[in-house]
Amino acid sequence: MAKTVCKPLWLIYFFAVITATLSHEVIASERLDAMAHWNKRSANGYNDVWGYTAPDGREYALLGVQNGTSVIDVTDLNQIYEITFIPSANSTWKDIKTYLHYAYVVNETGGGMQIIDLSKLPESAELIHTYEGFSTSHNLSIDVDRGILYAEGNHAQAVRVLSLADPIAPVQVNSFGVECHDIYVKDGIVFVSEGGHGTIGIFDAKDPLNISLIKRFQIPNAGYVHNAWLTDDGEFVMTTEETPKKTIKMWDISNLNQVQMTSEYLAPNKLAHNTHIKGDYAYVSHYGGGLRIIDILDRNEISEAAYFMKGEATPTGFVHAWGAYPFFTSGKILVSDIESGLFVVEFEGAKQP
Amino acid sequence: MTAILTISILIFSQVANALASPHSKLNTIVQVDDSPILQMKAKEESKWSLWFENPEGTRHSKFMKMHGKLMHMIVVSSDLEHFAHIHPSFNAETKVFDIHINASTQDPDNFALPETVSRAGTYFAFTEVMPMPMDDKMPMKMDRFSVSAVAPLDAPIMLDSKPRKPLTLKEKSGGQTLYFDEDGQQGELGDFYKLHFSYENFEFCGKWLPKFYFEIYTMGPQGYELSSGWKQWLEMGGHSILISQYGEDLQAKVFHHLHAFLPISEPGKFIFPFDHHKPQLQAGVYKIWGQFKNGDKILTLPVLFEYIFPSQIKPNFKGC
Repeated sequence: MAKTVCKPLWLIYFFAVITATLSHEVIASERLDAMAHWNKRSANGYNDVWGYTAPDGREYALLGVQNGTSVIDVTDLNQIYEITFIPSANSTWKDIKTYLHYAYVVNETGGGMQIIDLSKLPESAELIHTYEGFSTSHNLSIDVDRGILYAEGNHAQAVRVLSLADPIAPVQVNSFGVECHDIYVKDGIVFVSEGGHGTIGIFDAKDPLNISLIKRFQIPNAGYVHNAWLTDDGEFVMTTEETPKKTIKMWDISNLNQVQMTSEYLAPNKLAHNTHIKGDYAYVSHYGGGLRIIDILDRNEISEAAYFMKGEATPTGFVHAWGAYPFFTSGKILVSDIESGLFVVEFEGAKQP
Repeated sequence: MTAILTISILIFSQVANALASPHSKLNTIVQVDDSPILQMKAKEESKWSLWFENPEGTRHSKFMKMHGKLMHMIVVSSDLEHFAHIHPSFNAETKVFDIHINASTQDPDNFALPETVSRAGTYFAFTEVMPMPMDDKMPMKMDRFSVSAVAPLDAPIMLDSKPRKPLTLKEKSGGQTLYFDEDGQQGELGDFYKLHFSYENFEFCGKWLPKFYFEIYTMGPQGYELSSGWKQWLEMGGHSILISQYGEDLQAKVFHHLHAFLPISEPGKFIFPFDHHKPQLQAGVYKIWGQFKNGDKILTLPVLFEYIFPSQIKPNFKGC
C-alpha cells in the first residue's frame, strides 16, 4: 500500500523538479531578437561599438568599421540610419569612448586619436581634431568625473594618461604600468588587464600625476587577460581572458588582501571577448556565442539570463560579436558583429527609470 | 710575456634593425675601441661604443628609459654558453652610448661586466633603445652586431665547445628540473637552487602565445621549497632572454627580451608571457636565461629547451 502511494508522489516530485528546472532554464536562456540591424559597410568589416545619448535624448551608435567610424541614429528602431562616416586608417582593431559631446577613436594602424564632435547631431557629426601625440592604441577608457583619458600604450609605458581639460586638445600628463591590454577606470581607480601576465593591476589614479599600484592579483592558470569591469557597488570585478576555454570570472575585491573568485561562466562557443556591467547584469560580447547577458545579482552564482545570436550555431574562433554597449537608459543594447555590422536588441533588465 | 694570438678574422658589422620601422631611418654605428673593426682581446678591457645617426647625419640625442635603463645590451657567445646582460651609459655631450667590457664596475646592474668576454670566439650583441619621439608601432629600436674576441695563447678557446643535448618538452608534460648553486652555476640535486622550467601554449588572436614558467626552489631544512624574498630588478620581477639555438649566423637568430612580475600567487613562480605583438614564436631549440634578484644578488638561470606547439591554428581569425 505504502509502495503504491509513494510512487506517484515521487513521480510528481520528479516532474515538478524537472518542470521547475526547465522553466528556470527557459527564463535563464531567454533568446532576444534583433530589433534593428544595420550592415551597410560589410565590405570593410567591423570591430567595436560604443553609444552616445544626446542632451535631447536621442541615441546613437558609434560603430567601429575597419576603415572608419560610422555614426548611426538608433533612436527609432524602425528606422536606424547612418548619419555620417568618419574615415580612419584601415585597422582590424578600433576602440571608441565618449566624453561630454565628443567621441575619441583609436586604432592599431596609425594616424593618431580622432576626436569627433557629436554636438550637432542628428544633423551631423564631424572630425574636429586628431591628437597625434601617439599614433596607435588598442584600447582606451575615460574617467569622466576627472576628465582623464587612459589609452593603451607601448612597451615599458603601458598606459598613457591624457588630460581632457580641453576636450579637443588632449595633453599627455603621465604614463604608468608595464603591460596592458585594456583599461577600466571608475572613481579614479584604474583596472589594467595585463594580458599574457595573467594579472589585473589595480592603480590609484585619483591624482593622475602620481599614480600608484594598489594591488595586482593573479588569475590562476590564466590565458590572455583581456578586460575587466567593476560592479556598480565596486565590491566585485568581472574579467575576461579571450582565450579558448577560459571562463569569465567574478572576483570579490572587497578585501584586496584576499581577492577571491566567486563564480564563473562561459557560453558554448567557449571564447569570450569583452564584458560590461550595468546594474545586476553583465553584457558580454562573446564572439560566436553572440551577446550573452549574465545575471550577476548573486555574485556567487552568476548565470545566463538572456542571449542574442545572429544564427543558430555558436562557432568557435574570433567571429561574430566583438563589442557590446548596454548603457542606454532605454534598454537598447548595441552589439557589433565582425561580419554583419550593428544589431540592436532590447532587454528589460537594461532599462533604467 | 704573454704572446697574443693574432688571428686574421673577417670582421664585419652586422647592425640591422630587427623589424622595419621608422627607426630604420636611424643608422646605428658601432665601434670597438674607437675602431669600426669589431675585434677585441678576450679577458682584456675594451670600449664598445654605439650611436644613432639621423638621415641628415646628426647623432640622435633623445632616448627614453626602458625598465630603468636607456640601453639594454645582451652579449652572448655564438654557442650561447656565455651570457651577460649589461647597460651602456649615454654621454649627453657626445651622444654616444659606451661601455667598458671586461672592466670592473660600481653599477650593480652591470654585475656581469667583468666577465662579459672572457674567452676567445665570436660574440653576439643585441641592443634595445627607445628613441624619442616614440614610434608607436615599434617603440624599441633593436640592433645586433657581432664582435670577434681573440685570445691570449694561454687562454682557453671556446670556438667549438660542445653544446648540451637539448631536452624535448611536450606541452604540459611537466617541463624539466635543473639545479644551481647560489651563484647560478648549474649543478646537481642537493645544490641550493632547484629550478622547474616549463611552458604552456595559449591560443590567442590566431597564433600560439607561450608562457614560460620559472619555479624556483631553495634548499631548506625540510628540503626544497618555493623560494621567497625576491625583489624587483630593473623595474620588473624578472627578466628573461630568449635566443634561438637555430640560425647559423647572427641575423638568423631569434631574440626576445621577456618580463615577469614578482610572484603573486605562489612564491618563487615567475611567469614570462611571450609578447603577443611579435610574430608567433617558431618551433625549435632555444636557450632562455631567467634573471631574478634575491637580496643584493642577481641570479641568472639558463635553460636549453625545445619549443613546440600543438598544431597550426586554423586561419579563422578575423579580430580580437
